Amino acid sequence: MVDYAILIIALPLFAAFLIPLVAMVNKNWPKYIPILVMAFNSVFAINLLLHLNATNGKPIIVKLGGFLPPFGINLYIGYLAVILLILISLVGLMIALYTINTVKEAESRYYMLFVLLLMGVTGLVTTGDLFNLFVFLEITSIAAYSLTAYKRDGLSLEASMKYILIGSLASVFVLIGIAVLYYSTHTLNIADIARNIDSVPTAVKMFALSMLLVGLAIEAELFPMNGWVPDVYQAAPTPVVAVFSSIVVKATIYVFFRVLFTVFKADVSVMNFVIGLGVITLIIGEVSALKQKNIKRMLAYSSIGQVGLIVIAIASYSNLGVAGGIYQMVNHAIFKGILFLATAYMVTSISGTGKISDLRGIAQKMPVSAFIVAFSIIALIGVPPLTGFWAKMMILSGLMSTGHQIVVALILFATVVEAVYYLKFIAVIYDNSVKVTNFESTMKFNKILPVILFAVAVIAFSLVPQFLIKFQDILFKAANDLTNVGSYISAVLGS
Amino acid sequence: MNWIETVYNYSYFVGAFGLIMIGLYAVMVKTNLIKILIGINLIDVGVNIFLVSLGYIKGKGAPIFSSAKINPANVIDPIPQALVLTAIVIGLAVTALSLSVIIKLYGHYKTLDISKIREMRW
Repeated sequence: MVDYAILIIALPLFAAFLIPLVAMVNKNWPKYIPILVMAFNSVFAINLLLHLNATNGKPIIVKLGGFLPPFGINLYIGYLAVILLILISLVGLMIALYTINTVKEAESRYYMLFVLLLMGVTGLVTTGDLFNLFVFLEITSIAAYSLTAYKRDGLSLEASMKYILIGSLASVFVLIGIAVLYYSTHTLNIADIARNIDSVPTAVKMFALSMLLVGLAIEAELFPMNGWVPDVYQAAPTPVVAVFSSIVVKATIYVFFRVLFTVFKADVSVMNFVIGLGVITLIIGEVSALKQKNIKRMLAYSSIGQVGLIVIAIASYSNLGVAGGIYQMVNHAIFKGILFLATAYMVTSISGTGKISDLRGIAQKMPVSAFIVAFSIIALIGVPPLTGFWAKMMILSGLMSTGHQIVVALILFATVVEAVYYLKFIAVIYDNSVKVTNFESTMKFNKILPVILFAVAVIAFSLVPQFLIKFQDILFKAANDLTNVGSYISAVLGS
Repeated sequence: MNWIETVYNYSYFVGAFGLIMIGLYAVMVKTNLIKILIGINLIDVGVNIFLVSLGYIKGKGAPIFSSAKINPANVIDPIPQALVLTAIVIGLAVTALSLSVIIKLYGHYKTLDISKIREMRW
C-alpha cells in the first residue's frame, strides 16, 4: 500500500487526461470521474493515516524512480501532510458530488481542470523537492486561472486576468528564490537544503527567503498581495470557489510554513514579521467583510481573515499554537466549504444575483439549508462547545504562552467583528416579517445531500469526546511534524 | 577598475536582472494588456537566463560522455538547464492562456486598456 503512495498523485493526473477521451465515448460519463477519483483518494489517504499510526508516526518517504533522496525526487508524507490529504480528498469529494447538477452545461474540460486542480494541490502537500513544488504550484495556478474564467463573461475574464498577472509574478519570485538556493547549496531536495542551509551566507539566505516569502504569500492570500482574492471568488463558479477557499489556500499555507520552518529554519524575528502580516491580513479581511453586499465577496473577505488567523497561530511557533492553527485549518476548510455550497444553493433556488438582501426570509422555504448555514457560521465564529471554539482556545493560549498579548487582543477584536457580520447574515435569512415570493423548488437531492452528510458528520465529530482526544493527539503530532527540522532531515536522508 | 571586472565576471547576472527590472517596469506602468504580457515574458526570460548562468562555467562543455575528451572535472552543471526547460514550458502555457483570455476580454469590452476595464472594485 505505502509503496504505491505515488498513486495519490498519479491516478488523478491520469484521470484528468482520460476525461476528454471518455467524453468522446459518452457525454454523461466525465462528471462521475472526479467522484471516483476523490473517493479512491479518500480511502487511500485514510489508509496512509492508519499506516502512520501503526508505525509510530514514522513519515512515509516515497523514492520516485528508485533514486535515493538527495539525487532523486522524493515524496514526504508526515502527519500534517496526511491530515491535509484526507481534507483535500474528502472536501473534494463533497464538492464533486455537489457539482454534478449545479454548473450549467458543464463540459468535460470543466471536470478535467477540476481534477487537475485537486491533483496539483495533492502534489503540493506531498512533495519533498523544491523544484517539484514549483511545478505543482504552477499546475494548481494554471488550472485555477482557467477555472476562474470558466463562465466567460466580463466579470470572470477580468478576474482571471488579474489572477494571471499576480500569479505569474508570484511564480517568478518563487523561481528566483529556488534558483538562489540551488546556487548556494547545490541541491533541490528540501531535507538536503535544510542540512546545508547554515553554511549559506546570511545575505544570500535573506534574499532567497524574501523572494520565496513574497511569492508564497501571494498564493496564500496574505496582505498586501491579496487584492485578487475577492474578485476571483466573486467571479468563479461556486464549487471552484469552495475548492479555492477550503483546499488550495490550506495547501499553500502548508508550503509557506514548510519553506519557512524546514528550509530556512526561520528565527523569531522572521516569525514576528509573519505574525505582523497575519494580524494585518486578519483585521483588514474581517473589517472589509463588514460592508459587503454580495455573499460571495463577504465570504471571500472572511476567508482572508481566517488565513490571517491560521498564519498567526502557526507562526507563533509554540506547540499549542501550531496545533491550534492546524485545527483551525481543518475547521475552516470544512465549514467554509459547506457555507459556500449551501449559500450558493439558496441563491440559485430564488434565481438571485448573489446580494445578501435577496435572501431575506429564505429560512421559511428552505429550513434545512438555513439550519446548516447557521450551524456552520456558529461553528466558524467559535461558540462553545463546537470545534471553532477549541481551535481558537488553543491558538490564544499558545499565543499567550509566547508573550503575544497584543496579538491576542487583536484576534479577539477581529472575532467580534466577524460575529457582527455573520450574525447579521443569520438574522437576514431567518427574518420572518417578509414573504418569499419568487421561490421555485429546484430541489435536486444530490445538491444538498453531501452538505447534509458533511454537516451531520461534523456535528457528531465535535460532540463525541473520544474522537476529539484522538484527534488532538494527531494534531500535536502534526504540529511536531511541521516544526521539528531534525526529524524531517533524518527521515528523508537517514541519520 | 575593480567594479568593471566584477560586472564583467557576473555579466549574465547583470543582464538577467536587467531584463527582470525592465519587465517589472512594464507590468507596473503600462496599461495595455499586451504590453503587460510582454513585460511578464521579459521577466520569465530574465529568470531563465539567471537559472542557466548559475550552472555555467567558462570554458567547460556539456556533460555528454560519449566523446572521450570530456572528463567529470571539465563539465558544467546540467540540472539548471533541465529546470529551465520546464520553466520555459510553464511560461508558454501561461502565455497561451493569458493571450486567449485577452482575446475574449477584447471581444467583450472592445479595448485592451486595463484602466477602462473596471467592472469590479479593487
